[in-house]
Amino acid sequence: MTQLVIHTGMPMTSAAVIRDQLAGWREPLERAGVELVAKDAPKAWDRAVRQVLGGEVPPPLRRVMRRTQQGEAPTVLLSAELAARALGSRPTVNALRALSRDSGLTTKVVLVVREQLDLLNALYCRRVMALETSIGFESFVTDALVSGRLELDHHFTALQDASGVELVAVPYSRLDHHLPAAAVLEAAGAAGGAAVTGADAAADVQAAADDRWLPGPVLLTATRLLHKRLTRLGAVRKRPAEELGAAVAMLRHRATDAAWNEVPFWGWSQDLAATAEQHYRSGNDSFAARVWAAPWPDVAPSRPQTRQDLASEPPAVVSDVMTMIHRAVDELTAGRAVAVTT
Amino acid sequence: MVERILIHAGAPKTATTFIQRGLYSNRDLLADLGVYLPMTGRLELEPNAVCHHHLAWALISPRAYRRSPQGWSALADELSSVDARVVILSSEAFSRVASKDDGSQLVTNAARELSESLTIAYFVRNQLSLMNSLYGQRVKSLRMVEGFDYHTDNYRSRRLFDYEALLKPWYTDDSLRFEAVPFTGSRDVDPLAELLTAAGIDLGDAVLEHESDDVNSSLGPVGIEAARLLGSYLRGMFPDFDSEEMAAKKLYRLSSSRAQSNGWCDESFWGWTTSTAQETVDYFSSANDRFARDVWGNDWSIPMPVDKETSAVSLLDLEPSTLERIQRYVFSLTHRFSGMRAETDPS
Repeated sequence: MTQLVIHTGMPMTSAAVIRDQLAGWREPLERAGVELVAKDAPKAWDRAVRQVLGGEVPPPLRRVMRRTQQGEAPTVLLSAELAARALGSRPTVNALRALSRDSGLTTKVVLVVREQLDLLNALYCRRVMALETSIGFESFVTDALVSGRLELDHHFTALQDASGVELVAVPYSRLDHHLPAAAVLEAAGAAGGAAVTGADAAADVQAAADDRWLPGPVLLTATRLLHKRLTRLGAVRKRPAEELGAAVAMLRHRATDAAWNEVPFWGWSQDLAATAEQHYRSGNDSFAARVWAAPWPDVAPSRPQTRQDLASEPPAVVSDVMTMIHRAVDELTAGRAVAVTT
Repeated sequence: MVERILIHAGAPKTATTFIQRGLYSNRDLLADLGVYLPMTGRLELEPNAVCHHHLAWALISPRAYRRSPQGWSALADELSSVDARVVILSSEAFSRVASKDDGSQLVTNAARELSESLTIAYFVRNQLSLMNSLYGQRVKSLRMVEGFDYHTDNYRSRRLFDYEALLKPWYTDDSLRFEAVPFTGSRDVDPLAELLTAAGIDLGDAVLEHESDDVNSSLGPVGIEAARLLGSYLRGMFPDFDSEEMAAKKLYRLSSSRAQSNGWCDESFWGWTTSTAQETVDYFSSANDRFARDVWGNDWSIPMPVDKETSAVSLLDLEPSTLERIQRYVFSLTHRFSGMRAETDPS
């Protein structure tokens, strides 16, 4: 039988890095009997996963399945973060079950899960740094709690209930920082997958490090201020994304130069963390009991909250931040490109 | 001959400027009542107020005032030809003197050189409001840029806020009369009238007059954040910035006026949360009760606004339009400061 493995993950679980690493290992994986049926472009992976979750068999998968009929037993590996959201829907899970049954596939979903406090902190940083929001961390968390979108047990109920589709969950904390794709291969039970995990190319390592990077509180503050000022001037809507990105890159570059980011941002106060932990605890325990038959493995990190109070920063930093933002806003509103370096 | 000296010693942020301007506005009336307001020691920057800061500073830095026309010797010379029932010396800086070791005695000794009869009047305000108000003043005058919690954590243990420790040397001194006046901040009460009454000066049917107090408006929550950012930005742009330099003092007045015209003084600032307020009330509770029993004969009864909701805001949570105005405020005032510095010190 052909084994179909779909790797996916909660947001901020290195899904893109994992996919890129898998794509980079295409040849050794094929030699080990693991087929990547999508081409390297992320859109191709997403398209293939959408087809499978819609109950269709993508042509490359069909070709692999024919080989199975000739006596081979390959593993087909798909990877897309978008699958995690889709697999929260019972009709989607049912479509996947039907596809597996009708096509004679053994289907496994490898889901990377992340402890929510750590995740929300990272997610907040990503959204601020992408100039998607400038709201405060507490408001961001409150919205997330109300939306319920990170409640594992609730979201993946259908997947946990589904017969014919195996769910394998991997805690994000257990991923190798440099080679997170290795843990996915291991969880997939892909024969020979271990053979490629030594291929720690420098590019892979750098990409994985970038993925885990968190801004410091000053950079985050500066970016929120930039967003607010650009919003006020209508520039967030009017200017192209790459120009806005250049403005953020300029701040980030300055942050690195001026060592604004020695401590990564951690937005949780004790009270807010206690509320969120309480909110997620029972769902996590229930999910862990069903998937691992063990307690939830991760303890919420306990770190001191980093302040976001620009005026309390060293004066040189304050004048630096204000000047840089002023410059970026001036250039963007004048329609000029922002130079990343200063 | 001076029959009695009345020292109005504070506390800061208990309508002292209002009282000192009121003393000036009502100087003729007070003169008719036998009250003399010395010229010596008055602050030059406040020509329309009777505030004798130099006399307090002379006790802190006696060397600097040894031959000064603003010191205690000069005051003695001035009073030598004065015939008055009461001489009033007013400066909240006397509380700063008293907050130092043996400082209270310095004030008492200096006054005794002028008259055997001494009254010290002190307005007592609940510590929550006092610390809140002092914070606003420090931020507004560009002396402080840190957040409210930093301020309260670092200043709470100062003697200024512990009335028992601060004022005991005066209220246990049988050779002087000490008047502790509860300060509530109510606009229904005229603090100058209260001071005069406490000092035994009978106004009779006379009505006190007061000028408006618009320059001294307190910053609201947005104004606090704007002034903090201004103070921090100034220090970043001018590493030798000193809030005591002349250009900074001029900027303080300009920035206050700008804050007021921006509407940043319309709301009042309250930096305490209910939990930090309660913790602070507990911290002072025993000393306050002992102080109140000693001076008023009962437990502390000045209301502590523990349940008042905080009005503090975070700069980053302000509306983009407000941030835009704050940025203009910071940049334009920094530019003005640069010009003022050049005028003050052309070198």
